[in-house]
Amino acid sequence: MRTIIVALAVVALALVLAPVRAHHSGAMFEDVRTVDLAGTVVRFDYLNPHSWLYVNVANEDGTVTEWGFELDSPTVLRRRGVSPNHWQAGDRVAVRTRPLKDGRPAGFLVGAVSSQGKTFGQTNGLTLGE
Amino acid sequence: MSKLATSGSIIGAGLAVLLSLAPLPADAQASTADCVPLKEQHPNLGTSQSISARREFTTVWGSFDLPGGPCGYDSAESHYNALLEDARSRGGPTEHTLTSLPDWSGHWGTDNSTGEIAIVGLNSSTEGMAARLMPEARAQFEFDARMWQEDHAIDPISFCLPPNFPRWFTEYGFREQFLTPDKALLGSEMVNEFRRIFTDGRPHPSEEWLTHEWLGYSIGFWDGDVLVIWTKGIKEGILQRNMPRQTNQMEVIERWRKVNPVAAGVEIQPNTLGAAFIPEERIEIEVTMYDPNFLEPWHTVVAYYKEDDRSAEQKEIVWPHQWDCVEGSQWFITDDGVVSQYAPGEKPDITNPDFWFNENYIHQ
Repeated sequence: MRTIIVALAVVALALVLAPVRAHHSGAMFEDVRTVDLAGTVVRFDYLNPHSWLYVNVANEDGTVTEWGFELDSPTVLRRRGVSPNHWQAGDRVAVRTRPLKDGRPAGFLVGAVSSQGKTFGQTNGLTLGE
Repeated sequence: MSKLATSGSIIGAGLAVLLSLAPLPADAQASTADCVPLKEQHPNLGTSQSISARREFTTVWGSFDLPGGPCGYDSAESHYNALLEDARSRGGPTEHTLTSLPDWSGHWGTDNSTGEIAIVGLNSSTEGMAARLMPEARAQFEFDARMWQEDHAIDPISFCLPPNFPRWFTEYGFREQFLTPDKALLGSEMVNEFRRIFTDGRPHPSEEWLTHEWLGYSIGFWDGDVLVIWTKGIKEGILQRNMPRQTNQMEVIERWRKVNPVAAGVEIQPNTLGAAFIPEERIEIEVTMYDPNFLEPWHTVVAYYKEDDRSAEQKEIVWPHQWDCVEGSQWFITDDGVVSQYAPGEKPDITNPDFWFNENYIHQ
């Protein structure tokens, strides 16, 4: 779970993965490259214009980094069955993200699976590990 | 009677919108004084008022024909006065009471099958938009398009600024209408915006008092069950991302009406982003935009579908959500002028009351 998997997707796929109706440019995020991470949910902010999922991810050196992952607005999430309690603090999650280009720990959420059985977006190959 | 807008040859143009800006034919410079409709001048550039970039768009009532003749009215004022005179010739405008006003209650959504493209007569091809602009505005549009293409453009909404009118029509979120005899409140969930339409006969503010606002100043009247609106005093801005600018001289005429597609025998398939909708209810809005940037008025039809929240399950879903934009936005501008996002811990916890009262800070 501490392994960062870097996956290269095709350009067409990146277009599909773009926010449904994002209200801002996504230029700060990687267009194509995705990263898979696993960790523990800190909190899920269900906010307009964009919701954010915060996850503590353990690093190889034993330290922990809190990552933030952007999602669509509640308006859109409601219709996709994502409630404000879709993720709760303490849930184990595996996430796929298009990270910030500059390397800081945030990105756009492409997919996720959780220890509570909740899924989101693209989940193929995402596992919670041991 | 159903009015069918044909899709023309620009299906998929939305994705390709910025990829090329072909030189325009010389006659694109023609002025409206020539009164040769642009859709006749450029039949292949998507200049028809009713071209859909994505699919056919069917209306029950709203017309894609440009009001006022082949090249339209010369101003919003002329357009509004013609509608007012027409209503008067039939004994109007209608003086409604609370009980005689039409029922526009419930929660509605913009049919996103037209969505962003609806604002340009369902035409989002760059060439089509450029062909409909005055030369100076066209040059600006070509510059702006390059900025978008090269990631040098910022959507003002990224700053938590509101969608200006008429972009207001094209954003997602719940719509709510509250009608009273002297005023209509037309709401959009995004940025919690409500337009106020005075129907008490007052004119727009005089030049002494008129400012330029995101949604402008709107007056209107009822013609039976049709709400006619004239809006001016709008801020300058953009029609949408990747779309031309509008000046602060833009004025817009709207005609709103609720229709029943089922009774009319018109099959409606709105793009509801997955929401359930009530097929018997729909609001269609004819929108005509007048701007010095435009060679001729831009005209289109916007449609709202009605959310079906009759079931207990849907009542859980249909709740407009406070648009707490500053709280929810994580964007900032780097020292290099790049719009980026905060990572965890980088943004002050501005919604925490303990942040507001802290002896280590000096707030002035």
